[in-house]
Amino acid sequence: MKIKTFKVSELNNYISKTLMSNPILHNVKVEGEIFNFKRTGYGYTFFSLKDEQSKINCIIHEEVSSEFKEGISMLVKGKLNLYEKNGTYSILVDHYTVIGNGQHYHEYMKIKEELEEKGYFDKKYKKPIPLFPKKIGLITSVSGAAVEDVIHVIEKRYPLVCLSIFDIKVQGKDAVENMIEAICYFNETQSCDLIILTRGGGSYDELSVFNDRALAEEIFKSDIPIISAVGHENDYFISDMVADQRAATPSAAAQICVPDIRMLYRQIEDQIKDIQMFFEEKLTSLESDLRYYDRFLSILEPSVQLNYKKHFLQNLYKNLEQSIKKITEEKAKQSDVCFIQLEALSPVRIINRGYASVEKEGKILSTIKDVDLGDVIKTGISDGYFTSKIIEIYDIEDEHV
Amino acid sequence: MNKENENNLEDLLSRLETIVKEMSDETLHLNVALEKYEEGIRLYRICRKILDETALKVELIKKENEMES
Repeated sequence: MKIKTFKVSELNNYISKTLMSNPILHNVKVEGEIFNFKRTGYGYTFFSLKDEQSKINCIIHEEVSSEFKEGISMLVKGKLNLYEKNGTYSILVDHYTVIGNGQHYHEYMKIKEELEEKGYFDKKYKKPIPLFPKKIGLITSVSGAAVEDVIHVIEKRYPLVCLSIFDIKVQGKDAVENMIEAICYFNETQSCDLIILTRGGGSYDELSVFNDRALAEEIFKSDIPIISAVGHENDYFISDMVADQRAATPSAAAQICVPDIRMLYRQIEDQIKDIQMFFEEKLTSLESDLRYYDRFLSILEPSVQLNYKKHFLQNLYKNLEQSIKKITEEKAKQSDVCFIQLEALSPVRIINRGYASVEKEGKILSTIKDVDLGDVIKTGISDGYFTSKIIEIYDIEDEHV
Repeated sequence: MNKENENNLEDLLSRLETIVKEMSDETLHLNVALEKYEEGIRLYRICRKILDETALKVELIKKENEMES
C-alpha cells in the first residue's frame, strides 16, 4: 500500500473531518478538574480539564458563571474540534455542570484553613517592610519575565539599593525546595533586609507551588520581611497570605519595596525649604525681640532712673529749704509783732508822757491799801527817782482817809 | 550715718519726703522745725552721696561695655 504524503494542513484538515464525523467524539461528556482557566475580552472562555494522568483543553463560546473557577470539578458536554492552524484539539463545550470542589481546591482549602488557625495570616505577625531597604534579596527565575520587570522598576525608582538575585525554578517539582532554600540562605547569611518572592503569570497548575505548606511555613519563619508577588492581579496564593506583604504583580512588588527617589528628592527639597523658612522666621522673630528688649533696656537704663531720683531728691531739698525759710520767717514776723505790741505797752512810754511809777520796798504800788502814813516810797519819773514820806492819804471818793 | 547707709535709697527718700511734708505745717514749733530740718539735710546728703556713687558706677559699666563691643 502506497502511503500518501500529506501536507501539514492537509493532514490537519483530514483529522478535523475525521473528528467531526465520529459520532462519539461529536458528542462527548467529560468529567475533570478545571485549571488554567482564562476569560477573554471577546466572550470566549478557555480552560483545561484534568485528572490524575491527563488533561484536555476546552473552549466555551460564552461568558461563564461565577461558580466557574480554578480547581473545581466539572462535567462538560460538547464536541471535539481541531484548531487546524496549530494542530491542537479541544472540546467545544455546549453545556457544563459544576460537580463540586476538585482535589486541588480541596487541598488548597485544607492548607489555608490550617495555617489560618495557626495564626500564619495574622496581622500581628507581619513584619514591617523597611522604608529604605539597603539590600533586597530577589527570589525568582533569572529566565522568567518577572526578574526583568523587578530590576527595571527598582533601578528606575531607587538605584541606591543593592539587588541580590537567587535563581530558582518557579514551577515544577523542584520549585518549592528551591524557594525554601533561597529563603533559608538569605536568613542564614543575613545578606539582605527585604526579600521579594516572585514570578510572572502562568497556569494555575504552574503557580500552585505557591500554595505549598512547607513554603508557607518557611515564609512565616523568616526573620527578614518577605513580599510575595505571584502571577497577575487576580491570582491569590497561600504565599501571598502568609507573606508580610502581597503585591499583585512583580512590578508592583518592586514599587512597594522601594521609595521613588525623585519623590524623595522633592520631599527633601521641600523639607529644606521648610527648615530655611522656619529659621528665617525664627531669626526675624528673635531680632524683633532683641530690638524690643534693647528699647526696654534704654528706658530702664540706670542713668535715666538716677536722673529721675536726683530730680526727686532736689525737689525734696528745695521744699525742705523753702519750709525752714518759711517757718523761720513766720516766727520772726510773729516775734516782730509781739515786740511792737510790747513796745506799745511799755510803762516807759507812759512815764515819758509825765506819769510816774511808785514803789514801796521794791513793790509797785497800785492801791492806797498798801501804804500807811509815814511810809517811805520811791517814785520813778522819766529821768530818775526820788523818795518821799507819806503825810496824807486820800481815797478816790472821799479824797481824805 | 552707718545705719542710714545700710538702708536703701528709696527708704531714705521716703523719710525725707515725710519730713518735707511735716515741715509744710506752719504751726510747727521752731525747735521741732529745726530738728526736722537738720534731720532732712542729713538725709539729703546721704541720698546725694548714694546717687553720685551709683552714677559713677553706671558710667564705669557703660565704658567697660563700650570697650568690649
